[in-house]
Amino acid sequence: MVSSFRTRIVGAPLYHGRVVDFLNKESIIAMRDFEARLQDELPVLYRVAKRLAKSTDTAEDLVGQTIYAAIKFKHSFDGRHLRSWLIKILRNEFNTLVRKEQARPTVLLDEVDGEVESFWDEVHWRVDAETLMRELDNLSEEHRMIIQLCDVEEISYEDAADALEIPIGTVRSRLFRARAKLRDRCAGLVQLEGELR
Amino acid sequence: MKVNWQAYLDQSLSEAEMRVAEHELANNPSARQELNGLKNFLVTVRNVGQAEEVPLERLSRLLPVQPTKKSWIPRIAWSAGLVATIIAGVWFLQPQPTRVEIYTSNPFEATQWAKQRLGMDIPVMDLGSDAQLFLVHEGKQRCCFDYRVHGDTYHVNVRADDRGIRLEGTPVTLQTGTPAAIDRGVRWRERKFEFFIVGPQKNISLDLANRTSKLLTQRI
Repeated sequence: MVSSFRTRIVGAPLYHGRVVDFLNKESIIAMRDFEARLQDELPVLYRVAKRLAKSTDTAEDLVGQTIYAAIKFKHSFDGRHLRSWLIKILRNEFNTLVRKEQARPTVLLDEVDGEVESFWDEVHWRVDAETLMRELDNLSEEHRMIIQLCDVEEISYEDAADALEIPIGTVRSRLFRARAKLRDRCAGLVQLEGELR
Repeated sequence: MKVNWQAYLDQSLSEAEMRVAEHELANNPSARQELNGLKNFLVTVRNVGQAEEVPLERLSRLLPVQPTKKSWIPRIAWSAGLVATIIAGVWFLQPQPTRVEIYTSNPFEATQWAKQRLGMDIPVMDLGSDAQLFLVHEGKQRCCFDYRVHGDTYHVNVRADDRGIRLEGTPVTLQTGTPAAIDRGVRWRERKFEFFIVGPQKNISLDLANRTSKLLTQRI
């Protein structure tokens, strides 16, 4: 029989005034291990949240809500792909946040895996870091997310597919298109600057 | 035929497409330039993206605060202190027996005092020149004569034998033929009294028991 102790331990977490009652089945040791892994994921979570929300304040809120949800629903974690599991939670939290604020129009993306024009020569896209980030944020949510996950955080296509709840083929095609879009934007700026000169 | 360099990098090209890509790279400088440009693009995006400032200290505060592992030593100290306080409280609250004692090296005086205090008809407890009496005191229905033997203290306890206790310990027979038992000390019953002699060395306790028993026998 699994002992059940629901007594709040000293220093049990409080999130926005809510007591997290998570110690009903897991031991404190397992909890510490889980939290240590959460700690390791904080930078990735924050960057992904910031890319998603395009706001530092909202990103921090999202990370907090993600941690809260992760601890609350820890029992549903399979113990293998923590990062993609957390990102999935983060996306859900973000979608909930957005739904509360406004009814979002559905963004339709062309997921058809067509040819991507090849002009990766650096002459076409070389811009400074700040501009690159700004242009990344100007992409659609799906495109900036896929670049953030696969190119910035370097998570596998499989984990990205799991986090975004899309097939791996879609991850690949969306990523190719997102990169091309970003490059196009940067290339446009380069071209514009050239014309202005 | 244009090569999808992204697919080339993530190795999702078909075998035929891969052969074309390899051929282009081997023979076409602009192909190599394209591929290098793509690689640099990806490295730039990664480096710039990962260089974003992360408020790790603030984020860490979002994690639950676990109870710090406390040392068990202060807990034991607190527990011991609490127990000691309770014991002391119980000790001071309960009625204490009146402890009366006299310091004397005179066995006759000590015996007279014991007779007056406890009504014990015991012989003069002179156990020899090497057993120096220095204190006699009373407790719960008993009288205790303290002797100094070779620098150690030996307690000769005498009480009325009205409890019918069993002699527990290793059975021995005193030189007077009286049965006794040795555990922490030497215990025996003689006449109307129960004796218990205890000190650092059992052989000396036994010697004192033999002397005491002889005194009782001589008196008879």
